[in-house]
Amino acid sequence: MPDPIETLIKLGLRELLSYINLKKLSGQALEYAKKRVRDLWYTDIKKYGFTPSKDEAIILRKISQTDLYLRLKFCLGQHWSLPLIKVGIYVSNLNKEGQDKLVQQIKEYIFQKYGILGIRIMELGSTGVIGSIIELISDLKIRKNYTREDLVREFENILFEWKEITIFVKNDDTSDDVIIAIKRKMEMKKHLFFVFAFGNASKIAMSGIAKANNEGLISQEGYLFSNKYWINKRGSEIYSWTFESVDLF
Amino acid sequence: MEPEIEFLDLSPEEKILLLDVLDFSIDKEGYIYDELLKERHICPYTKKEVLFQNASILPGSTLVINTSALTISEYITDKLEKKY
Repeated sequence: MPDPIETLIKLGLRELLSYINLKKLSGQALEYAKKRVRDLWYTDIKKYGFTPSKDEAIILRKISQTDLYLRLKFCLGQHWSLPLIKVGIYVSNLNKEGQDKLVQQIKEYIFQKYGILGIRIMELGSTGVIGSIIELISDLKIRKNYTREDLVREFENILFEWKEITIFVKNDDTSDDVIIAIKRKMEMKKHLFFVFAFGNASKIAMSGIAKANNEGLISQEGYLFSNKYWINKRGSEIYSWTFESVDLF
Repeated sequence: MEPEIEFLDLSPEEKILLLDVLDFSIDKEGYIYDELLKERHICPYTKKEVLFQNASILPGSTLVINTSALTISEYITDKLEKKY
């Protein structure tokens, strides 16, 4: 009969746990096996874990390695909002049924710990609009040579002022509604604001912005704008326009 | 370089065994018990006690946490991501 200790030495962590469990080891062999598990846990090159939400953990880990996320992290460092942004991006990857169920569950956790601001940040990820913000923040770093402190301040201003600096165009809006909303932001001297439109509303937004631009309204007020288009994981088209006061350039 | 990580698929018996090796047990009501501190373990993220069935230990640590997308994300940010 083979010596159990000789067998234990050859096993990886996963196999070792199965072996101990199946063979019902006891005494010296059990103590040795436990020591071996402990050693592998702490010193193996590979790092182990377990979770009842393995798929969720793997996806969140992958999100943390995406270019988009790394760009934001490179700009902001260890910012408190990063876990929420990852959860938001994770939610955006789910189908509608899964998303509704999960959003309901995690909104409660997020609200308890981070309040309404936490919910807002998660939604930046889940709607996909975080992409426009990351683009702006990385652009500011290059264009204005902002330090990390400057970038964090700009990012937090966007978070705190989110309601005041965003226009979400709806399907029943008209292009004139879009122009009025844009004018209002410019009159309020917001140095930065965004227009977002999903699906059919994008045509209305496009038409309103084109009209305002052709009439010279945007440049007269001292603003420049850039446009971004993408399709989120649920197949919805998202258009965003970032308006910046020339003072920011 | 970021460490290679593996999430183990373990039976409840194997999880209990692993927790035992890491100085945790399960109390009568199904909560994780810290054998070193001699008290119920508290999740560092939720600040709440952790039920065995909802417990995660994530790679590279012996931190037992209450499992949700948020706590996993917080953990990844704290422990697995590169610090810039």
